[in-house]
Amino acid sequence: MSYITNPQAMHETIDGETIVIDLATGTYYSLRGSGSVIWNAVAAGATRESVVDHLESMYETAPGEAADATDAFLSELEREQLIARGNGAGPGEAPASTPVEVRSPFEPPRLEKYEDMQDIILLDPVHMVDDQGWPHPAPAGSDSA
Amino acid sequence: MSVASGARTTMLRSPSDTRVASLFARAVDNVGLVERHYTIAGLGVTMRFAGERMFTRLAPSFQHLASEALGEAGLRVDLWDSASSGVEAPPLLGTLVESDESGPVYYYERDGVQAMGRWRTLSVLDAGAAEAWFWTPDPATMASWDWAAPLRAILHWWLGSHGVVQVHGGAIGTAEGGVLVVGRGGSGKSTTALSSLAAGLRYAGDDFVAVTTQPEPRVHSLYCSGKLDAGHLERFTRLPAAVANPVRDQDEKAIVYVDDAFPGSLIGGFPLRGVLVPRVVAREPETRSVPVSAAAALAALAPSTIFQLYPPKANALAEMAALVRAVPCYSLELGSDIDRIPEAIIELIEVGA
Repeated sequence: MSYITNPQAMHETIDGETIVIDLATGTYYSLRGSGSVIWNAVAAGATRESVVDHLESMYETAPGEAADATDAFLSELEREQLIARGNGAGPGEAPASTPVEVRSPFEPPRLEKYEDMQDIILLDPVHMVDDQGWPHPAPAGSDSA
Repeated sequence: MSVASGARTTMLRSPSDTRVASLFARAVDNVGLVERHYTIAGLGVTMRFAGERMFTRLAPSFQHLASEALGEAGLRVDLWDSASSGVEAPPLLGTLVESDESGPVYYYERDGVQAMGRWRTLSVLDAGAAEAWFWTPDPATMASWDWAAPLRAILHWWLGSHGVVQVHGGAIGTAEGGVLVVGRGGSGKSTTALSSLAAGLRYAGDDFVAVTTQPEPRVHSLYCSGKLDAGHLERFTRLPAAVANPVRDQDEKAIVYVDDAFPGSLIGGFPLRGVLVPRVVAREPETRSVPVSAAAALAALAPSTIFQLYPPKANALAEMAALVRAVPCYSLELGSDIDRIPEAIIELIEVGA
């Protein structure tokens, strides 16, 4: 199973933490721990299976721990509409895991959600206007030259 | 009086061709032309005001950036209003998308022309022709936060096309270096910036400034105005006498032109030494700083910038991430004694120098 990220979501990762901003809703998120790893893998086109493999290559995990954490986190991202299920396997192989000589202790994926910008969106929406032009009528008798 | 000879007559390429250039020319014929040059983030901008009313309403916020002549990459902005000039509103065509108490809200972009109408103003930029227009029905009816920080949309688009990022934040420092103060409205940006002036720090803005990351991180001032809630205003000794909107609604912020209260305090920009995320704590008198991650600073800077400056550039988040990666970031826990805020900031600037 592959996923596609929400095209309205801008994201940037710094020092293992990913900030995701949903331009459509005004909600933004902080993804930490292995959550940042999972997000970046999915954004790079990884399937659910390759995400699990990637986590197991990076972290010391108990049997099934990486798979359970991945499934739970992908479900959370889906609920937040930050990702959606794609068709088939997709590119599937990303990311190319760099062999890790010493795996680090597993850091469960964490998602923190912030909605304090939503009031700006609700109070101050901006609307795209198409080729029909500006959104209020011309004075009677004016032309559009 | 006519528009200065040699003025370009480029018309918009939008399908509705709003003829804003010809409307501006008529406004100038009726009320005269006031022309000023500015250097904004190192770029030349000429503003041509149709009449004194638009000039006196909007120009004071740029007074510290005035220059003798148009600099490189010159943008020309023509500004006019209908009330003083007697020239009708732009004959905007099309279908109303939505309207609220502030009027229609819209954004248009095609063939390098961008336009936005909101808060009863119209901003248009033709980036290829380096021409822009700003219209309001009446400068007297503009929102105070709009005339205190005018042309935000045009500057966002124009500066952005030249590698300069407008951000939601305040900035204070010295010619040797300073800090960017970020966070959503009400987080303490203005209090932090304005309280620093009494201690000799200089002011580059309290709400919107511009930043560049190359060759080194640098803040550029856009506006010399500041705004404060009435309750906070009373905590400053020198600011109440400098309020530019003494008659205002109960929930409307007071606008001050900072140089009126602190002469010589304005600065056009400085090297960036740190990013501060203020947080009102007020448990103790002193203000203290605590290092925070670059991601935490980005979370304080980016959403409030992106949601207030439309449309966000595709790489807006990456540009702001580059900024917070380049300098140390701190949480500034504001104490109850605003006179002691600058101590913490000066210490951080010295550490970052």
